[in-house]
Amino acid sequence: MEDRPDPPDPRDDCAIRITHIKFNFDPTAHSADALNIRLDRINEVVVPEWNERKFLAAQSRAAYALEPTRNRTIFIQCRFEIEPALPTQTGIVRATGGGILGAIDPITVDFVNGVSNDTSHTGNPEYVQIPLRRRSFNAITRRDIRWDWSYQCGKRRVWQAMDQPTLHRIYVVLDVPPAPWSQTTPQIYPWTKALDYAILDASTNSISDQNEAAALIVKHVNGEPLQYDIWQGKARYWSGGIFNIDAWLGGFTEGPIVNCYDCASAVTTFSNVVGCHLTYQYHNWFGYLNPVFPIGRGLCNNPFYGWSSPPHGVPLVGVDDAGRTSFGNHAYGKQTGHNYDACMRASLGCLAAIGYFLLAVLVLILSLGLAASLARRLFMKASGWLIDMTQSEYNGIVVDTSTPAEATLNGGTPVTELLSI
Amino acid sequence: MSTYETSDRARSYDEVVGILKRKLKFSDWPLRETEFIAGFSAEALRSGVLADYRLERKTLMPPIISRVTRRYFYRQLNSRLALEVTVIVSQMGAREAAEGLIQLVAASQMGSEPRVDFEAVGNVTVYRRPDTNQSLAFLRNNIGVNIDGYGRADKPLPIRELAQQIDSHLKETEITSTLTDHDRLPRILLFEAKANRLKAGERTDLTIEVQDNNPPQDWLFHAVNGSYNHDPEGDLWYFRAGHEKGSAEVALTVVNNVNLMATKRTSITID
Repeated sequence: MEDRPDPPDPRDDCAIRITHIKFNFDPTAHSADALNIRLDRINEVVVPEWNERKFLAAQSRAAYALEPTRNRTIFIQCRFEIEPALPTQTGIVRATGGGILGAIDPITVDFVNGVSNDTSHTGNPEYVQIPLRRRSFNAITRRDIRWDWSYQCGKRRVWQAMDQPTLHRIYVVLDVPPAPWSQTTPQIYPWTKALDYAILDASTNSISDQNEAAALIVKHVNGEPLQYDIWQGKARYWSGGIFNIDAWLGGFTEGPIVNCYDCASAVTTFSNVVGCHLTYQYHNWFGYLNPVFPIGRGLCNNPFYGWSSPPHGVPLVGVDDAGRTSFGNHAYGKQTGHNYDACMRASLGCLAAIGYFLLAVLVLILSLGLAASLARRLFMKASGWLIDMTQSEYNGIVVDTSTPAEATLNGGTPVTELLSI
Repeated sequence: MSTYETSDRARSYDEVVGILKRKLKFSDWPLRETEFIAGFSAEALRSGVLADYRLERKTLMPPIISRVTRRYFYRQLNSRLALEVTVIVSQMGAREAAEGLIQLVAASQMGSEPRVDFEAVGNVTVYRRPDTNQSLAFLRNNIGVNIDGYGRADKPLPIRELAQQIDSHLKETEITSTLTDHDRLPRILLFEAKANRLKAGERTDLTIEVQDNNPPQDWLFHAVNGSYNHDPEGDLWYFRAGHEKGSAEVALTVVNNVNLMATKRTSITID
């Protein structure tokens, strides 16, 4: 018998590649997979979020909510192909890297006619459901991650790198974004454009406390290149309960003049997209103001001085001047009973500012640094930010009721109004 | 000094609108329900008061039922003074336009003592503030107009003159008893989904054909149990089915430059 080598076994020389990844494989749930999201009003995030034609992280986006995924395993679903294709084969895949989603431990993949096959879940069996056992996220995040995939197949038991790494932009928010966002109405799935604004622009990255996140959104909205409408007190980005988020995110295309409805809409919308729980509050019969800094304006207790005749054509008039203008109504955001107002900033007296400051220091010392988020909010209050305040605390700082005439105009209470985008 | 309505304290915005209607005796307004003006744009006025102003921006508000609201912001040449003209065009009639005007007047943080005048400008004039140089709104048939000034107390803006100029223009415009099938309306000749049965999550392209004599148009979509989306590759619109089985719908509203609108809907079944 001639001594000839065995013919090559196709199982010895095989290659596996990843073709698709789904992060949001179940649109009806979000405790084991990613949230439903969109890019903006007219552009969707298509599932599967990654395929072989996507080379940039920004082309493959996914978002997770911390609260429903806490202490639970989350999964992705991946589709693989193997060559040469046989009726049945198996291989092993893994991925290193992964950033906050972590590396992917080796997992055995079954193939049928060259395509991965997994019947352990109810979705498309060509996708293998893979647990992300090493994910580590615990705060608001936007992070670009990269997985370097490798495989073993055939008789060779060495790891071989797949040709293409996969890059993804991952968002983490505190909870499922509430209204005006939705997980059931596709047009208002959370927009990544809004997430970019709320996380990057407003610097909420790494924040894990809802109150602090909302406070930072207030600070950012108040710092936008906008000015209070001292002539008419009218809204530009709010109309009949609808926030024109497209104009806001599009570079303030409605112009730089705003009122409190605009600011309250923005604070509510952008806080909630990162999983806060703010509601839009309309407070009719608001009253005269203590000296405050309306958005983009100087110290003011006479908010509609734009059209006023002398001596009231200036922002700051005498304390208790009966001829000054006042707020007929006002709007702001509220979360767990506490107010968040980006339309103005308080001008605290020295005593009040020092009081908040000392309280913050005390909190830091007594909690041994564990209540750092609360301390940071108190420091913000000491700087005049109208954040995380009870209604009475807020009224005491903002509303002037020191004379009977001033008290007459106060007395309204806030009511929750629907807000949509 | 600002003065206030003290007899009735509203809490919600809707209640404020209701009180304002009572205060302005809305039920007594001399509305001309069967006399329609076939659209209006502030851009139609290039001479007169606005000759010294340039249009800085215009904004279409989300249409409500059959009412279009558009804001035109004019800046005076060589100064920071500005005028904002908000135009409401109702295809349903004067009452719907009047409702829109009241809501517009109510949507301000400024406390005020508005009053109404049936003899001044238009069929009804509403003064939001005692000083008529700062703000004025009026209704002429099915057209509502609100003008707000952005200036200084010592530099009055020609708000009343502009209101009278707009009203004169409207009075000279042809009146019609109905806007149905009027040739100034945009027409949606075709609005169809290529597939009217989809599985959850599937997409179908939308075929759209619009005819209009008053361009440019704004296209506004609304989707139920799914989403409308733009495909930049083919420059086309498509519908993506939601994840609930049952009926879905997508609507297209086209608003043209004279603020007239047309709406068409198409239904899709999600299996």
